[in-house]
Amino acid sequence: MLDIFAIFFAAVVTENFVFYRFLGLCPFLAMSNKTRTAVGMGIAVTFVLVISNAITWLLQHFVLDKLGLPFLQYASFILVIASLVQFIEMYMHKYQAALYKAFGIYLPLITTNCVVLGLVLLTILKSYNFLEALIFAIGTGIGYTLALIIMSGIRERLDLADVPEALKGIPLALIITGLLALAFGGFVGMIK
Amino acid sequence: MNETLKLAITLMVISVFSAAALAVVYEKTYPIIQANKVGKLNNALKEVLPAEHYEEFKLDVVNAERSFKAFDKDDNQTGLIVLSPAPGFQSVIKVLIGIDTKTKTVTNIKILEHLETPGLGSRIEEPDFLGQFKQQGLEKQDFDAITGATISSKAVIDSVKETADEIIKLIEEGKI
Amino acid sequence: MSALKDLLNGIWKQNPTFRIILGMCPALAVTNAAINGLTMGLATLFVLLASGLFVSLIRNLIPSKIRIPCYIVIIATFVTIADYFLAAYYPAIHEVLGIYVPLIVVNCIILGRMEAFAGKNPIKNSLADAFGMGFGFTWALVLLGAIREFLGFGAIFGFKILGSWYPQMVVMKLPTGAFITLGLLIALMNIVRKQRAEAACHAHEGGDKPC
Repeated sequence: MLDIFAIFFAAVVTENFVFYRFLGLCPFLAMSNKTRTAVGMGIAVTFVLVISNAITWLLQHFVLDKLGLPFLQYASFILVIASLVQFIEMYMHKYQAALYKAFGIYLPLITTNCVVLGLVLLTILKSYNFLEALIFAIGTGIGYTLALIIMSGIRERLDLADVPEALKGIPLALIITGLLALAFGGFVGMIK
Repeated sequence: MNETLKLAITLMVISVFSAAALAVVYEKTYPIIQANKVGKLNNALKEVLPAEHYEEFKLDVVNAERSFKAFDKDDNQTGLIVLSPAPGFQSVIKVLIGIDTKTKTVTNIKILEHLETPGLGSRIEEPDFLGQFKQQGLEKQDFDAITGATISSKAVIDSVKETADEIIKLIEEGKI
Repeated sequence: MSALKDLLNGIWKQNPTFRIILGMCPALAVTNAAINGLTMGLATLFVLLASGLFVSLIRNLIPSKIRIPCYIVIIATFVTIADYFLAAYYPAIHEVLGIYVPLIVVNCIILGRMEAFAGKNPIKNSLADAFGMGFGFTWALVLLGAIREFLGFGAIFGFKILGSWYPQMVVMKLPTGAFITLGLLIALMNIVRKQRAEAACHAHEGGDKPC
């Protein structure tokens, strides 16, 4: 039980995918200027993370391992993620119009979001069982959403500040991320 | 239907070519990659406790993730090497500990794997720190940690002490 | 010559790291030392060239609807090849780069260039574009890595430059240092770009009419 909590806590705080593993940065920098988009992106990512991890875990253990095809891992995993995102988008577009209007636009960006591929690869590397894989995915999603929300809160405030021209936009966002990474670094070592 | 079929076939053809190319590359590089891994381990074992050959065996001790017996050229067992996982600051540090069966001392240690903070915890790989463990018996209890890397270095020290204690105890009981 | 223009494009004008701001993840993750940045850059360059070649070759055979999955399969294939190559012949660096090698698959630069360029252009131009982008990415990573390695370890490419008197700037070895260095570099590039644009504008207009 404690193990699962450790995995969850690490994914959210101490080994946050954005601040510790440098993953998911492109959409993070692009989507974190407004809190509304941040939350939407975070929820969409979490959803994709959990389902992707479930499917790729099954794929790895029941197909790739059983048939001895480790070299197909990267290609098959990314295809799973891309197809999954495609299906979710199609489904939402047709059956959940309201939801699609809220989150639909973020979906295509999630395919190339390194968070997803990073998560599924790390899950296999860490030899998690199915339950641990799900918790890892949920934790990562929450951690990512948390990072997005913190970032958007700061950036919304900074919109009102007087920022030097050269620093506006991405440079400032990167510097803020760096400071946040420093802050999150303080959590490292909390879980033994 | 015709269009969907065309789409599916295109993707399938590309996938087949991809899988074939990958299978070929895999076949070619797999033996080299395996050899690298074995070579790396063998080199590490030699660094910790030079011997003629090594044999892996199963040791049911908490601190021993993997265990090896070291033999000289007459097939006498000269020592043991244990791979011990030490809980570091932000990763599990894999410490390779060599123990001489005759003198019941730690011959040397080596850090096989770690993901500690670069520049801080990673200093556990420095020769000054590792050198402390060369040819040490159980009597030595005081080891110096590294300033700025307390948790990482203490994890290694504790792991070496605990593992050495256990192994030497087992040697004295004649169990290994 | 159009292909040359395509090649030079990625090196400065549309540098993927400093201008288009793509491929951030590896740019920050593996640039704690110059050699790591160089290796990652070269691996990405390889994938760009190989994928660009194949995508451009069969660009008229791929139905538009399925082009993204096709690009992805092609890219993933070459990333896997690069990964195994490094694991076999450069195991030490391969270990350092870790999962960031397979993450080249989702490096937005590659899919972006396939979509924007290789999928619609002849082989010669596609290769030029791929090379330019890959080279632009590589030098950006080497620069970032060199700065971080110099300030963090007092060395560049493993050669110790500053003696042991230098108190290593630990923050440069950590994620924070990566973010801040890249942020400041982009800001610097912005300043350079703006000054060049203003200079060119003044030279064109001739006089002190505002640009």
